[in-house]
Amino acid sequence: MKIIESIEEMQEYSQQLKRKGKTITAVETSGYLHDGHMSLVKIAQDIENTNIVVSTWASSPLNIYMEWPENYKEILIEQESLYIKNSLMEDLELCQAHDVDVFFHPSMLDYYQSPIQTITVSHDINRHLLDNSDTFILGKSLINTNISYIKEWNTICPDIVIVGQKDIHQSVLLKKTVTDLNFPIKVIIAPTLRDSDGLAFSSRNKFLSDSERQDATSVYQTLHEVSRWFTYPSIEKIKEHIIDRITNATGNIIYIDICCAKTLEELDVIDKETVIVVSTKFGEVDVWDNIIIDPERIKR
Amino acid sequence: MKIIESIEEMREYSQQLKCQGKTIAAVQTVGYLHDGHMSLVNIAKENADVVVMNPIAMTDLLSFSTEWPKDYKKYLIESEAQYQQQSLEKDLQICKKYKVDLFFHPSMLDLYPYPVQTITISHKILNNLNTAATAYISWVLDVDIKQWNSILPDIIVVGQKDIHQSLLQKTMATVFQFPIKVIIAPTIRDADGMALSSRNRFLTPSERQDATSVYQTLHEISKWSTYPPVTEIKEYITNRISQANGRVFYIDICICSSETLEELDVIDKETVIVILARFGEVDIWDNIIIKPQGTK
Repeated sequence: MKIIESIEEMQEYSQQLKRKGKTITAVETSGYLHDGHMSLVKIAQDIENTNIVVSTWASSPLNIYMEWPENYKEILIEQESLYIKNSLMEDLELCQAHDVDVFFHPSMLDYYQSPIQTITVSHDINRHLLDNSDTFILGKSLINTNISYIKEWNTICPDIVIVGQKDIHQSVLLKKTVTDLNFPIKVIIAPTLRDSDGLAFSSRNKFLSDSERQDATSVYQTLHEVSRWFTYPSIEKIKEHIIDRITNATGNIIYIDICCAKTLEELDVIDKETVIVVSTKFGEVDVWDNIIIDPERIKR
Repeated sequence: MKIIESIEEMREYSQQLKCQGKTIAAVQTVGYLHDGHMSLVNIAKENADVVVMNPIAMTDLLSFSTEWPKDYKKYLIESEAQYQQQSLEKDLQICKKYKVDLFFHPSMLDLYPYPVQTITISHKILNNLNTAATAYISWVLDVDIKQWNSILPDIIVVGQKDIHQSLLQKTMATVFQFPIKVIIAPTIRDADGMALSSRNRFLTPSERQDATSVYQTLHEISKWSTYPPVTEIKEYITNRISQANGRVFYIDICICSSETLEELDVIDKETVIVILARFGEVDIWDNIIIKPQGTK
């Protein structure tokens, strides 16, 4: 496995691969890799004649800010050293074990050089998140992450990008960015990998206590159950049901978003493929998950 | 000169060129080419193996609007028909004459299967431009990325004439880390100092005489050894141009940096002065970059 730390070297190496007629498949992550990420790598392994690149800075710790704070350099340096201390070696081993070809790990400061905010991207389909105070930060961080991904596309030059359904908002926005701006990239959205108790894989799960973990399984249980309903009441009623169930299991709801799975448009009733996204906290740990509901299933 | 009309074909051809180790420079215009554009072609030729000319002629109604109308397809088809009728042949000839290697001219409907307004410019920075101008520049930036992703250029050459646009194109390449070098080419002028523009031909001889006041004023200011506050400079420009029968629409005096186009109160760093003025029925715009003494 090749480790590349410079942006220019990555660009150059990708061009070399292309000249040899190879394709490039990118799995873009924020580091702290686990089996969920490796399930994306496994999908890449099934693609013929491709080189797999795993990257580590697809989202930055700055993405939650409206404007980059004055001390953004310190934040980046701190996050980077935390990552190197806590996860880099494990991530390298995991990638090596899964036959990843390139581990792309530039320095954070090279990657996020200056707080340029003259130009950004906007998507109509993200507007309902920005318009709602519960989801505003999510909407804003989606945009920033979107820009980080574009940066990576221009560095890794992938032919295929594999993203997870786990981050469904992000995945839909990325797909839209690709078609809007003619990026020569195919986006594959991979299903969420779950433990045997249904909990979606996340690097944060390890911070849950045993009882919190037990409680947190209510998120998927509720989503799964809702996906099996034969008729759907109004969106408000569905939200109420989810809130009740998760609150009973001592979870705190951050937000629930019920929208079209293809376009993220807000819905009044479930009459097309719909995604229910739930963001919660158990103890101090964020647990989020989503499920896609196909109302056509009922007719079949 | 090769002519390519399909986005996929363009991409494949570029990839082939890259395999042969050749570099590509793109000159993106809105068509209706003149010698000013060809100065960009010459710079492109000096800097790359293959020069691609890429005219995207779009009707004002779409490129200046903040929201696309429902019947946008009609306008796309109209823009294209108008361009083919009025300028395509001439553009092809002038490109051949200047030895452009490739003329990339995708159909408007291929380029816009649906309306796209993805790239957004912070209004805080462009608050001195009107909404339509901001919409126009956003449109240019959207088209740019579509084109960059089709042509895959190593270099793009843009004109200082459209300085706001050029600086933002440069910023965009940086923000999104495109592996592209953006060259801002100096404005080409006639002997009387007038910047070349496809609109100049609509000026009467006396209007043209008057319009030279724009560059004369800019040039004069660039030679000053000290600068008064920006408000006084603006007053001075407005007076000079009004005396020459011009109507000043706006004057923008801002930091000349690809990262910010902030307006200034005093000139203490590299600055660009942009003027939009009308003579008779014709819009004339021009700009000059000034470096006050003692700055880098």
